Amino acid sequence: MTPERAHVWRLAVWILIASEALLFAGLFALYAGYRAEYPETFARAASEDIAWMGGVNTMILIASSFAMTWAVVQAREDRVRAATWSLVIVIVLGLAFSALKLTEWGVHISDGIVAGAGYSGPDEGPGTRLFFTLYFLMTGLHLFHLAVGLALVVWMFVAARRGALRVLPLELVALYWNFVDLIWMFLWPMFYLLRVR
Amino acid sequence: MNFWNEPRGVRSWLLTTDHKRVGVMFFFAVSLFLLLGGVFALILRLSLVTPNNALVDAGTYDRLFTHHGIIMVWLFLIPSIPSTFGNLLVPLMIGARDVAFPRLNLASFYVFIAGAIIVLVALFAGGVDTGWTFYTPYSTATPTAIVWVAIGIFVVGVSSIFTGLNFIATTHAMRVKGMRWRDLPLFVWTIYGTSIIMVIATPVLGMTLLLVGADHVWRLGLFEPNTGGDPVLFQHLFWFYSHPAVYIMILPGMGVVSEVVSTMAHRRPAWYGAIVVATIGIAVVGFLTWGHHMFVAGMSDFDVGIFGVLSMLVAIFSAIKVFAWISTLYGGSITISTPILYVFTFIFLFVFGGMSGVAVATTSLDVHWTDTYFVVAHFHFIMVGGTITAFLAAMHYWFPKITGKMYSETWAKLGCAVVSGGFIVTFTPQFLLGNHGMPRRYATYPPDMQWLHVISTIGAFLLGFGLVMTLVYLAAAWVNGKPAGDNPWRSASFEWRSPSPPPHENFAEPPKWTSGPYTYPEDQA
Repeated sequence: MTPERAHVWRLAVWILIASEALLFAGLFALYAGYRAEYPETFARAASEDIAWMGGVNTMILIASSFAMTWAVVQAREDRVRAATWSLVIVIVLGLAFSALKLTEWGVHISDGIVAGAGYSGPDEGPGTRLFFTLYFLMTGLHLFHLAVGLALVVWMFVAARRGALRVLPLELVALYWNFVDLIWMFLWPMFYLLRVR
Repeated sequence: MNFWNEPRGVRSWLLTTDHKRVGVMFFFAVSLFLLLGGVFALILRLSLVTPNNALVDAGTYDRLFTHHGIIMVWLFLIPSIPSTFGNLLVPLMIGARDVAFPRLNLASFYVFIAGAIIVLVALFAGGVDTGWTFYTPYSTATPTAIVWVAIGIFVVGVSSIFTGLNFIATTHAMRVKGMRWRDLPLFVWTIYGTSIIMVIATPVLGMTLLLVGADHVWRLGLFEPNTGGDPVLFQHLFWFYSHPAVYIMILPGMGVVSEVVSTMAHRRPAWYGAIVVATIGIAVVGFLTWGHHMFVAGMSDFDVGIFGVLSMLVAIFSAIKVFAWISTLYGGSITISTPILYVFTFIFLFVFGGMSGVAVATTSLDVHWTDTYFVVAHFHFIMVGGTITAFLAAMHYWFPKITGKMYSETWAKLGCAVVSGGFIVTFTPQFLLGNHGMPRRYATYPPDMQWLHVISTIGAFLLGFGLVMTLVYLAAAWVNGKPAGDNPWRSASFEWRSPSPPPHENFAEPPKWTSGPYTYPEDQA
């Protein structure tokens, strides 16, 4: 692949990421609007989210981004074995994040905390339903992106096993993975840290 | 041998990665949607001939204007110029063999068609009665097919993003060696600006409409007052896309005008740099003006004032362009051809519509005009008058490039007169109606307004007749028009330096950068 072509691919993925960021932006705007409208409710409702799960998931994603970047570094040096193992770590961490996230959803749902009209969880004041609707929508959209990222990483892993790992696609997948990680870095404070205790 | 017949076969068309073929397929699709949306408009106009609306009941009327708006905005106006003429010409104009991602380009066509089919099936099977703006809380409660329409428009939006991404990458990376950014044809600049809006704004609309759909299905109550939600937040999100969207429609039109003006005056465009700055300026400032759709929705006076002033800034950028076009034409040896006649119509409608835009951006006046026919007339002058006349100018200007044939100038000039006249007769009375207090989207009205409605309806049929006539003589010219030669307008621009119609990979031999797109001997003299 020519350097010009590689440049085009990088540009395209950055544009795609800009587009994806704007896909989340509408939801961020809604969160900001409603948080400003109901600050106490949102702070109390955030306490309902399971802090340790959010915290552990944050660690998991940071570690996965490190492993992902390490895979690129290794691939650039032509150390396919090390790159492959790094990808395995990313996959395991990605699955762990998803499992923990789904577990937290399960706990919420059994407490009656759901999105929409079926909500029967604790009443934290006006706007409670809005908080949890946004919680499910945003973490859900994030989890969907993470699943897409995971599929891409598996694809890279398969390519590596076949001895057909190329640096540029790996680099672009890593870019996407880091973007998904970055989104979570905003969701974490919004839904777990900005709370009353 | 050219791109029409090389390679041969239906399969080679359906699976083509040739940007010209993708452009042609988009052209037929959006033209079909233009006619479909037009039919709804004509039914609307017919039913408004009598004050008490003898033709359809009020519920049907709501659906008719909704379908007209949805089809025209998302299936015609947004892709009208970028996906058709952008696809056909951007690679040719920058001396490239194709776009940066040809397969993504083809995918954008099929995704568009898939989205359009979802929208149309939803419209015809169930129908929607919210207006094309889908305002909450009504849209989350309407018993109509809103969910599928929302999904369909989301899919169409994905196609927009693919197209925009492709054009940005193409402009960055595929220019012929030696072509600098300041050598870029103005049409390519406008497509570039449009593409930025497409990739940045479209996802917000997609998400917003999905939220409306999800709200409808699961009763999320995100925008409903009874759960603490705020319907006005929906309007903010909706207009964050839908205002820049009008620049998706008009910017490429401005690019067409710049090209036609330069070619027909046989001169380098006056103030090239200023036009580029104005193009990017409109694309950027366009993101900061959405609030002017909501002057009466309960914003603070301060916000209203800011949005009003920012909206007027767009008029300054637009005025720069209009003056640049006029000064290019001034003193030039103008070839009076159909494309330049459409450009004259464009400039007239654009200045008229633009000035009425400054008027409605004036907050105190807007309170009187909000949700009246005055606004309807304003945005039809700009969006439709601007985009359709530019679309027709492009169609007539590049027709010999794409088909290699020439149409009858007599018929074309007549068609231009009918379309332009029809348009003005349709929408000028609507300014008066609006100022007189006729609300938009109403099926009935007081009898003293009837004469203006009747004039408007006559104009609409004239406009429809003009469009059908255009279709007929262009089809006839395509079948047995006279050969046009490679460069009938004697244009200096790059796309005319390849054979007409162009061969499969655009240029018979790799093009060389020898002179810019606007190098005319008349300028040297």
